Amino acid sequence: MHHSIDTPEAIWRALDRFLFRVRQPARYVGGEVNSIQKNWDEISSRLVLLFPDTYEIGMSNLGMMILYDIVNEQANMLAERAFLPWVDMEAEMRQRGIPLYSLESFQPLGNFDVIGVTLPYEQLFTNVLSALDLAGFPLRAADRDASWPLVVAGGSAGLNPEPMHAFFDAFFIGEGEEGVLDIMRSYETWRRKFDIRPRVGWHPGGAQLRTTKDILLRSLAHIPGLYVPALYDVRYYADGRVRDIRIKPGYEKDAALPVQKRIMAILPPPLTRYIVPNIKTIHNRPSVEIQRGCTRGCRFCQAGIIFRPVRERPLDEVLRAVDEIIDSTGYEEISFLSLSASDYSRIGELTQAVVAKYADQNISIALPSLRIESFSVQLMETLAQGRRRSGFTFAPEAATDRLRDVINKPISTEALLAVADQVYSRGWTTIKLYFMIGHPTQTMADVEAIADLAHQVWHVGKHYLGHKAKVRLTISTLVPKPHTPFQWVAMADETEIRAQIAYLQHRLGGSAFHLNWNDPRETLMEAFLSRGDRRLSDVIQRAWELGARFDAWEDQFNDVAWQQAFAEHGLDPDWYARRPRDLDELLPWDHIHVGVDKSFLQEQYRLALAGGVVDDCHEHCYSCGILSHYRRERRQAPDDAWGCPALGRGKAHQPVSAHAVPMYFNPEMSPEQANTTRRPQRLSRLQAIGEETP
Amino acid sequence: MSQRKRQRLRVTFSTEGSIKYVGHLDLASVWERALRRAGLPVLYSQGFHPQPKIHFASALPVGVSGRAELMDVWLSPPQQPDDVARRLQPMLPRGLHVRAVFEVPLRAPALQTQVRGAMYRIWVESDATATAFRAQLEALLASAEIFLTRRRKKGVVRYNLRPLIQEVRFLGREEDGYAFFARLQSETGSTGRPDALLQALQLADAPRRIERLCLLGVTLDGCEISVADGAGADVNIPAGECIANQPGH
Ligand code: SF4
Repeated sequence: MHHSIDTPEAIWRALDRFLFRVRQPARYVGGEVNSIQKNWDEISSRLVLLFPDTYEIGMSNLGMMILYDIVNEQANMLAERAFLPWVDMEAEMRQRGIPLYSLESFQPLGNFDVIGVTLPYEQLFTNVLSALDLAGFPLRAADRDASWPLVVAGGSAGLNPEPMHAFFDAFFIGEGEEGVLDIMRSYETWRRKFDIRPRVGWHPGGAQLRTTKDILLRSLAHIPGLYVPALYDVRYYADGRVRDIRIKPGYEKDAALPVQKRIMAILPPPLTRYIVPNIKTIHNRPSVEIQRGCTRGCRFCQAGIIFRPVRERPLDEVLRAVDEIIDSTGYEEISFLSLSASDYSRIGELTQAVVAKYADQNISIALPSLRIESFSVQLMETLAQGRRRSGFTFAPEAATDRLRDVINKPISTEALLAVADQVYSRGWTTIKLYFMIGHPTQTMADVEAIADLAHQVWHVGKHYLGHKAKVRLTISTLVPKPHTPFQWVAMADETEIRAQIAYLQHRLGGSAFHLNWNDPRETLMEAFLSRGDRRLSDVIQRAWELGARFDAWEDQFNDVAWQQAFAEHGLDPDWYARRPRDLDELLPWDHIHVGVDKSFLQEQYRLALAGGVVDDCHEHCYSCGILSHYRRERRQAPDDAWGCPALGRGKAHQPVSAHAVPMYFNPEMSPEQANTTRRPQRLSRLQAIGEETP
Repeated sequence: MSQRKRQRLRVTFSTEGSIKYVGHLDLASVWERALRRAGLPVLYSQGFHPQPKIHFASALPVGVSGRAELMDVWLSPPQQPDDVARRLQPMLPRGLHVRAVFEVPLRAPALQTQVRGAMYRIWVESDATATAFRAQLEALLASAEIFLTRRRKKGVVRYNLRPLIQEVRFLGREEDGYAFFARLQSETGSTGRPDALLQALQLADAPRRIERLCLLGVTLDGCEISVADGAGADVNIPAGECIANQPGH
């Protein structure tokens, strides 16, 4: 596609002719407080951060905003933003030949050095193709020589990079705060050496530019955490399983195998100069990350593995950030970000302090992801400060004690009901419950228990509030994600999922309940995209050609396109989503190492099937691999900054064992092991939630 | 409990460039946050959902720039109006400008109830001849009724635009189109929108630039009448009709 509209002035003039009739035009023009527009001609190193979904969704992504801030801090670099236009806008842009452009300078993406694509979830894959195409780029990395910008992905959905390997030049694995600068510097060094500057309309072609690009990829592969898929070969068995993953001959000195996740030893200072969108976004508030990582070890949870180790932000740093954010943004709400806010060691002090300071300034505080315990009710009580109490959210994820042992989220139904009692009795009218169906070993009894539990919870509410009491349920289906103990598990059968949802609909039909569930077809897509291998690149491209895009949007999801794309390539989505893997099978993402060893995941999987529960590793280190792979980083951080024990110190308090020590085995699951259980190191947490230990 | 002293300030502001694409409700949040960034003590309503006390005279349609828009904001304790303007301006996003700030009586009638109409300067792309375009405008004025449909939340509503058009005046050829001036009624429940006018001219999708020059309405006692920055110099806004944007005396 050739664009005659390729300067910022021409782009703005063209936009101003029709923006009045597209949906929510403000998302296409930038100009927000705290957005940064540097002098384009004076800055040599230029990055555009692309979020391949709408502005409203992308602007809620903390990771992207952190990188924006870090790069713009550098005097010789600039970072701008781009988002995917909604379908109405895309049609207008295509019709007029307006290329995808950045919101700060209105520069076409083709004029940047590096395109940094944020990929937090797999449903964005087809959108990446839309964005590349709308920018005028060849879709495949192999078809882009050195005259094209470098296209790099980062984010959780890139931790199995293989399905998208054909489209990206590189994937950044892990935390990008330092890595982004490494990439920009490495690119700049190469750019100066070969006197290359990507720009719209300059693509002379030729072997020279291809060789130059090869030199670039080679040098990038030396950056820790950067995976350059073109430097690896994957071979398959006849049945489709991966046979081996190797570095291509000649690149052994450049590329790493496995590519290990990059982490920050100490959390960098929190972002405080938040861009303040002029329109409402999905998470219409800034957040302060109080803690990264989670030690709870829920076996279905990818975030719980890939964000290890736990690192806490010091309380005074959090409080200072709150002040600075309110000063610089004027937001009326702020939230504290953590996978499990309850586990932040100073959470009580933190809420007290912010309430004391800001309650009378009409600033409200959001605290997502609280554990099911009475302390959470106290915290919420402090934060509500006499305002309306609407909803209270808990995620038991499974409804029987037995199944919660399997997923390693041990809380008893009794304890849960006791917390529900505290919630309703204090005047909250709604409890939201998150459940997952399709866990391994699940039977229909476990699904029935979801409905039973919902009714029990409601009865607790009715006792205090009558029919004002409500229970909202969100039912999702387990997608066995890469890098989790459940990565070998088959996703549940579609007819089974449908029957289970229908059952729950039937049982929870009254006005007391509100039931949300995911379309099983969309869940299937998430499953094959997250568990796929390199062969899926062709399928993704074909589905996109057939019209698949905005797959995360229910009203846009195009199941037919996906089915046809799979059929045309002789592949089967169920083979990816619903095939149980052998524990020793080479998985398509095995060359990506997130710091947690495969042996640890295997052990957790075995324990899951035996009903073996392990404690939070704050209490007892299970040697998941983090400490051995990040020794250097551990040494750089203060002893109490990490959830993992300090090396060579404190072992007496926090023993490190080579094998996970289950606190107990569920006798229903593993009668022969139920009595052989060793005593857990500390019982405090279990006693706190009222659990009996054998 | 003793009531803290309150103050009601009237802010005249203009919008320029891309901020015109921000809708009215969002623009209200933009102001709310700017006031907070400026550290101004905005008064909040009581109750479960405390809301800042900011009232706008009239919503600016998406895609329309305003030269002299009005809003009232309540502060406690009171501040120097000039100081408020000075602190607010640097806190605003690109394209939003404070033109004037002055104090009005706490008991002055709500701004919204004072607005009767608005003046617009409209440029629209058209390849019609000047004579034909003019004739079209005149035909609008000559017709007894102009029925249009509007999509609302509860289905499509049919309404008559004609009584909402108070004046239309042709200004001349500009670039690839024509400029004209329009004075439309703007009262709660019966507001003529400039895009409806373009719809009536069969130019609903044509490129355009619309500026609201000023709001017309009941003037305040003791306030002098003027229009910001010579807005509407070429359209001859009748003196005595714009809502004031300057303190009197
Ligand atoms: S190394 Fe030990 S303490 Fe650290 S995350 Fe792994 S199991 Fe937990």
